[in-house]
Amino acid sequence: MKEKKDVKPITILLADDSEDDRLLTQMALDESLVVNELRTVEDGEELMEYLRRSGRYADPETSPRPGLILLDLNMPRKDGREALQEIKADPLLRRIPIVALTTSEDQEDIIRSYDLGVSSFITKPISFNSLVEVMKGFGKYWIEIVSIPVLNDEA
Amino acid sequence: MINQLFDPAPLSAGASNSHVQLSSIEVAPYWLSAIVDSADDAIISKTLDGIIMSWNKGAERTFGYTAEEAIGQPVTMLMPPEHQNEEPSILARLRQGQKINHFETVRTHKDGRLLDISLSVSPIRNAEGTIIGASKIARDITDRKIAEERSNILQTIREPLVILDADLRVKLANRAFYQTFQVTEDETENKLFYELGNGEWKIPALCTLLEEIVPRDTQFNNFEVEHDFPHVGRKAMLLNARRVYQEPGGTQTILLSIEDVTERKRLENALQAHTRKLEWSNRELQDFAYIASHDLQEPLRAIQAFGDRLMSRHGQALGDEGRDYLNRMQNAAGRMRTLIQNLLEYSRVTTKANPFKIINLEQVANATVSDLSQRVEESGGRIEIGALPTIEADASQMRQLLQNLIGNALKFRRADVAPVIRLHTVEGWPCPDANKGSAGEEQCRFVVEDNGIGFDEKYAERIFSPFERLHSQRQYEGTGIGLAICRKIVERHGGYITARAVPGQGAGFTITLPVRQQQEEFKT
Repeated sequence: MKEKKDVKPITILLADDSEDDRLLTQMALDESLVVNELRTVEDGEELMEYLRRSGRYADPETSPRPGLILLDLNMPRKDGREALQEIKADPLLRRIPIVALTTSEDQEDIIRSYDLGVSSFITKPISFNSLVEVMKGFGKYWIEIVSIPVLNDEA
Repeated sequence: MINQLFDPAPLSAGASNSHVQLSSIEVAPYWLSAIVDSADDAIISKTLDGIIMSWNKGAERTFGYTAEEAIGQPVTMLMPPEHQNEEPSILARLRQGQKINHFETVRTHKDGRLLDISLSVSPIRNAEGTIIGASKIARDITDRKIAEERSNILQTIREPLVILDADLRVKLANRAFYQTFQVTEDETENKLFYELGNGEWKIPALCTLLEEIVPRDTQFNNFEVEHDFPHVGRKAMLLNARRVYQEPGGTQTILLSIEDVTERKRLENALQAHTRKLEWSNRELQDFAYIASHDLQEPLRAIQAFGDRLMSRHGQALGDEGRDYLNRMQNAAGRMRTLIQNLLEYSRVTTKANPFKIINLEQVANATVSDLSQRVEESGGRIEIGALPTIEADASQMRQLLQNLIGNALKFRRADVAPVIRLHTVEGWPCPDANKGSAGEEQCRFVVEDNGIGFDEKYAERIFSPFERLHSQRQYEGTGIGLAICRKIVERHGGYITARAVPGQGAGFTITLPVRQQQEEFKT
């Protein structure tokens, strides 16, 4: 495991339209002792606004750039697939790892998401205990093992 | 050559007292001879025995024989065998002094061709008034007959037809044309085609065809045009035209057929609209499957997840009764989840179908049995696989079909009897092999039968409906989707499935499937 003492813990940005799911994900992360800051947005439009620092997300202090995005695929207005496409087409945003976290277990969704550049694809488990297990694995891998590019806020 | 016929005596007897008349008497035979010879019609004389006595140029042209060949021969040589019997009755009438006018019959040309002939026969008398022979005037009406026949054919054709001359003037139109476009003969015949009905036929596309394409290419086929006619409204027409010549080197005419396809187009459009609607509802069903799998499952997952949380963090505080309620809620949510998944599985028979391939059902059955081997072992029973056909089908769906049927047979076994499940081709039915180029219509029929608990046959149809169950959840688990999926699979393959059973003795499911798939596979 690498030493990351001098690096500020990354912010995780969760895009999910379901309030229940946002709460459950937050609870599962807490339970798995992933202490990184979790920010949430409710659909793809908001996600893009957040990433592009427009409107109410203009202040870097209150809207820190995320080191990782947890993305639900099925959302109103702009869904996860569209947002994914936009992020991967944007040279400033494309380096942010994106983990699809969705109810879908459809092969087509999985294939398409990888084609569009997700770093991994997680199907939301049914029980809360399983969700906690998933979040433990997620935290271990993405926060402890993986090196994530440090993105300059000014970039 | 006709001077034998005209006896000058009666003429000279009738006019003998003027010089002028006398001179005309002298020249009369030559005048007559010239008239007879220049006539287009065949003018022949014969004796009462039917021997040809004179033969003019017209006769030569009509029948092909020269005067030398014909004179002295019996007139029956001009008669085809089936008309030979006409001569005796003609002769009999002549002997009685009767004339025969415009008798239409058939005669033979020297070259064997049959000619349609209009015949007028008159008796010839000598100076004493005795009938000594007959004169025959024969007109070749073959062309007229052909023209009549053509016209008859034209009239009986149900498709509107017009015949145009080179100037695009209507020479003839048939009844179908008049009926379809509600015009009269007077308004149409000998009128310029483009001027008919205030120029309603001056359709640019048609003008191009008639003026450019037909003269160059001699014909055009199945040109489709739609046009608004003032009287009869909008018509969709399929035009076919052909340049024809009346006779070699003759005048050019154009035969134009105007098939009214308005109704056919309407039906085609209706069919298309219907197909679109079907496609649309298919799509809707797919969307529904997607909604079922995602949007319905999401709140369900939340119910279960918060239930888990409630149980693990506050279970103690709920007490026994509270925990029981919570458990029931969790179980109900679990069942709903299963139902949604079953529904999705049911819809996937069509939305996630694989293309048809040639597969051997015996192999599919064996593979299915090995999948279920643990359950078979636990039941203490056995599965017997007999001869099964090789057919064109969706392999994974056939597997699912057999798996559901064998699975049911294992599930609904009698408590005290080891299950015996048999799969085989129905007796009296062939066990075809789709590899061996069998005929397209061929079908096969096989059965999956067991010695289980059976069921009342009055439910034989109902059990194939989605979520239809004959037992409580407590007796036998399951949602009742299995047989519905079986039926949907069989129907997607263009076949059908039926069930029969005896309560307490067993059930049999008979599947009839086409050996080869005719239908165009709709991919999704």
